[in-house]
Amino acid sequence: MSGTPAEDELQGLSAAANRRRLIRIYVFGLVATLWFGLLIVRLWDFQVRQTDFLTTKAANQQEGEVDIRADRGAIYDRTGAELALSTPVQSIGVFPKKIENPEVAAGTLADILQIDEAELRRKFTSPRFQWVKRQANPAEVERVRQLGIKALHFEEEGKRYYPKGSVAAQVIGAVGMDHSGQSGLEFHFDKQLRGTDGVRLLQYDARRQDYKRQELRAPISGDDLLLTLDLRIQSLAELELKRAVTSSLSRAGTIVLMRPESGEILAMANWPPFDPNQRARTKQELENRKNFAVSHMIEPGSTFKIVTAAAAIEEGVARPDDVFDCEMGGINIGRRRIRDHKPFGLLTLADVLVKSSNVGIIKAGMRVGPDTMHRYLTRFGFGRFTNITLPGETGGLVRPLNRWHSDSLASVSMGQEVGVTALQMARLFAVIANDGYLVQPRIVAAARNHYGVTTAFEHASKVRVLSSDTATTMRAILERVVASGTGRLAQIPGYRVGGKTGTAQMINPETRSYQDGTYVASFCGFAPVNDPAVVGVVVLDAPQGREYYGGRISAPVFPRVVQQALRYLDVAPGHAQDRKAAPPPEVPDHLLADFIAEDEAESQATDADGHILVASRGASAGGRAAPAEAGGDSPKESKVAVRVTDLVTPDFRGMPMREVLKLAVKMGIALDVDGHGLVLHQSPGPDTPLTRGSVVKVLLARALPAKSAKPAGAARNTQASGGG
Amino acid sequence: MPSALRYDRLLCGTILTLTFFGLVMVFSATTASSETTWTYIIKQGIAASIGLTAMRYLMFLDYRKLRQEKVVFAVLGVSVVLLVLAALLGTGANTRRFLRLWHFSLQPSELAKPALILFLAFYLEQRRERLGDWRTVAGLGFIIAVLSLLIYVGRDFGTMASLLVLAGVMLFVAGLPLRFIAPAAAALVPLLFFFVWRVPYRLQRLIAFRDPGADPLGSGFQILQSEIAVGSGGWFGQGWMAGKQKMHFLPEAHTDFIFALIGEELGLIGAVFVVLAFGVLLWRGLRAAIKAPNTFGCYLALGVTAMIIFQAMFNMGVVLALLPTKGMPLPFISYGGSAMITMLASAGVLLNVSRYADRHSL
Repeated sequence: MSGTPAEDELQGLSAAANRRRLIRIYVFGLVATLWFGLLIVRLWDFQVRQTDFLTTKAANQQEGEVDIRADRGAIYDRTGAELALSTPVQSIGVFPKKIENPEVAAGTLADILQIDEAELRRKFTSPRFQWVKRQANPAEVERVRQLGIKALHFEEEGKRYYPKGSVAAQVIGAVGMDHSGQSGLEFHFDKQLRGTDGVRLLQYDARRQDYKRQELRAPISGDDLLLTLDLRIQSLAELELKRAVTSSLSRAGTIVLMRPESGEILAMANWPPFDPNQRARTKQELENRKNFAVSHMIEPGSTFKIVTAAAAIEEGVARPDDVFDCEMGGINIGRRRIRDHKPFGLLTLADVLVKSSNVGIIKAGMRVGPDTMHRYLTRFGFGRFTNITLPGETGGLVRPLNRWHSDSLASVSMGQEVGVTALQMARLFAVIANDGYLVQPRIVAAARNHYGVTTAFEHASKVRVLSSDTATTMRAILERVVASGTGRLAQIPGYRVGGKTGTAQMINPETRSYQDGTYVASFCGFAPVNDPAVVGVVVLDAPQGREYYGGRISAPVFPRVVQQALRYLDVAPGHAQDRKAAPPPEVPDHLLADFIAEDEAESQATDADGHILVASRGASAGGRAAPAEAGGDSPKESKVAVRVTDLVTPDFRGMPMREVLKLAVKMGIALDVDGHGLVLHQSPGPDTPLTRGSVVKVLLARALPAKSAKPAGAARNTQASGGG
Repeated sequence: MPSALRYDRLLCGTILTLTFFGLVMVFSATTASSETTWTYIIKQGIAASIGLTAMRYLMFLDYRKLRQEKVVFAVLGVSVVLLVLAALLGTGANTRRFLRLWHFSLQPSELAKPALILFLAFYLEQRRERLGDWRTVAGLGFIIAVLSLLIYVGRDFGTMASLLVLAGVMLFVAGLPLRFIAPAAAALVPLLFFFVWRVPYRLQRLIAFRDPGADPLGSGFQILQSEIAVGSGGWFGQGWMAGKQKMHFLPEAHTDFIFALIGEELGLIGAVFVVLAFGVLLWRGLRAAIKAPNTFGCYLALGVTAMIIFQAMFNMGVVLALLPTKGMPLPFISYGGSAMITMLASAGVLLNVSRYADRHSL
């Protein structure tokens, strides 16, 4: 374009200078282009060739995975009552580096949380994250939150809670601080209860502070366990066991109640007790966690004689009415003389059991012979685990045949030289009660998983070990033991009871010989005889009182527990009159009166510890069943009834479970509990007059709707009570 | 008429694209997932508006109005005065390169670069027949030395390097005899060492550049984090706003290391796009210089192009661990008001010169 003022100025430069300038511009352009090329090569190197390596490095510093604790499964009894559950609690931690005013913070926190201030200060000097207080109570957490200290970190953790305290504690077990099972079912099913932890991805900035959380994998809650235990029967058994152990001055004891046809354990009580809500502090407390019924081996003594008798009858070597000479009180086996507790002359096999003659049963055992005897021991499951799903089970002791001595057959025939557990004895009597079938004892009926699907536990099918005829015969003999023999104190008014008493001397583990004055007193029985619904075993270990015979101290426990159990199980009384030759109970009336008096005293005394609740329920249930009995007029029942009718229902609403239980115990009110948390609703409402046998329904729910946020858990609980 | 001339649309488009892209990336860099800091992007937006206004003004000005002694020396004089003020009253963390002005801080050293370009274009054209004369060289040396020293006093080593390089390129192209260039370069080497040794952090950065893993949390931290950022971008990046290295891993993610953020969020595709954009700028800038109707225009275009391209080369070289860590913003993209305004104003001059490139074909 002409007229552009710039044009004329091009002239001043020579062509050579112009070309040289052009070349130098190109040189600059070339250098820059090469550099840009190098940058692209470098980008390729980082972003394509090294990208995996560098991406990993990036992830290492930017992200971290942390576990999300799965909720531990709950444990319920057969009616759906909660025996063990986990509630979320807060733990408080601190990032010491971020704390602004450590002096003030240490003082305030130590004050609120009741912890050592010096210890706290030491934690504040740590470069890494520290726990300040784990499983703090909600009130503490709230107060600490209000301080608004940014360096504090709150983490939700599960705390195991056993609402029924020591009830069935040896069966259920307990967990440690890390929420893992330490004993009982908590230990045996730890993996299943624990569930599968989830994974959360945290994104950190360079200061290691997370700014984004993302759930990579949701936690899967542990399975709930639905037990065969019946809380009411269990509590009653524990109460009666405590009473029996205390009055007989025994060292320990156990009661096992089992359904003979299914092997379901209804109750497994142990003494001494322990509180699973407390951590074991002493060696004794730790020892008390053992489940005596499955882990303690005893020499059974006379209760074992039914094995000999059953084998003799089944094998056809003796009939119940075959007569044995009991040699007026003693027999020589090798160089050993075995005596009876009193001299007997000629006794039928049945009477040998009824009167519990050692001499007679040894003679029956000799007819059976060692080989067959040993075979029967094995058949009845002795010397082997029952495979009940409890830890610490012992299989007991049955010597192999080749190690039997000359007097072993005689010993075994009367229940010596064998080691058994209370549970094995319950199973033995269940064979008689169950028409000759050996069942697999079980304590867990089913498991319910995260998704609410309930799966019944598989168990071995029953095995016939005796003919139905032999079992029937044995039941008749055992009924006579209770009706007129050594087991008379085990009678239950209105029900036909069969059973056998036993009093064994204990072997001193040091001298390996029998100790005088140390006994195991036991009673094993079932009821009702015509169609047994319950098998019960009562074992008292080392009673130090005046009385130490199983027939005197163990047998009376049986009816007190089983009578109620039969009522809970809706087993009608009756058929008592169709017994042939039913002699009147030989229990002196004053003795019975004594027991009742003792009952009353105990009831008053144990008001505080929770057991009486169930006793009261029993009383009211007893009242309901009273018309069926001929004059159900025992002083115990009427007294409780009077107490109850004076009362009106309290206002449970807003109370936590523990408070509800306490109050109900105090007032002797039976409860039907659903859900957990705080009481939302009760029926009948407050101030309704209480009648005998009335049951108050309470519905509990998690408080604080904003935080409760566990609809899944609540739904599961509802199912739990529905499904039980 | 000048207004009838056509400015280089490709060049202008590239500059506008880079500027807009820069705003978008600064927004990402200053926005963490939880907290958004709006002050950065607002300030940068204001700076870009001012810069674009200046660019548009300088684009359509008859650039020969700049070829007057009073204009050249006025610009130079203002730069020197501001540099002196900054050196005396300046603020900044252990540097004195900023002048606080109400809510904004001014960086006079940024203005010094276009001032020097203008001066050199003017002076080299004036003296193009007497380049070998020692008085010419002395005059050039004096001005360059004064500016460099004032910038050095402000501890702005990066800008000083940028200033020296653009001066070197212009002198080289203008045909300054090698007998002057060679000793100057030779003198700069010990000077460089002196500067490096004088200030410990410079040395540490240089050492860190050679072996970033030796002290991953100290001096090597920036380079290592820059590599991680770029490398974790892969082919397509993690997505705009999705970068994680800006969570305090990558220091200066919005300024000197914004190219690393681009690599992380937009991947190889995005990073190469930026490199290619500067490549286009180089091509069209040199084309404008070559086709300029006169020496003054040629040198102006060359100076501006050299300034932009050198800073881009250096900045990206640092991010990709090819050069030692040195504060140097990425033109049009990095956060920084003074640099943004200066760059856009300078680009205006370049676009102005570009308008004469195609006049022969018209």
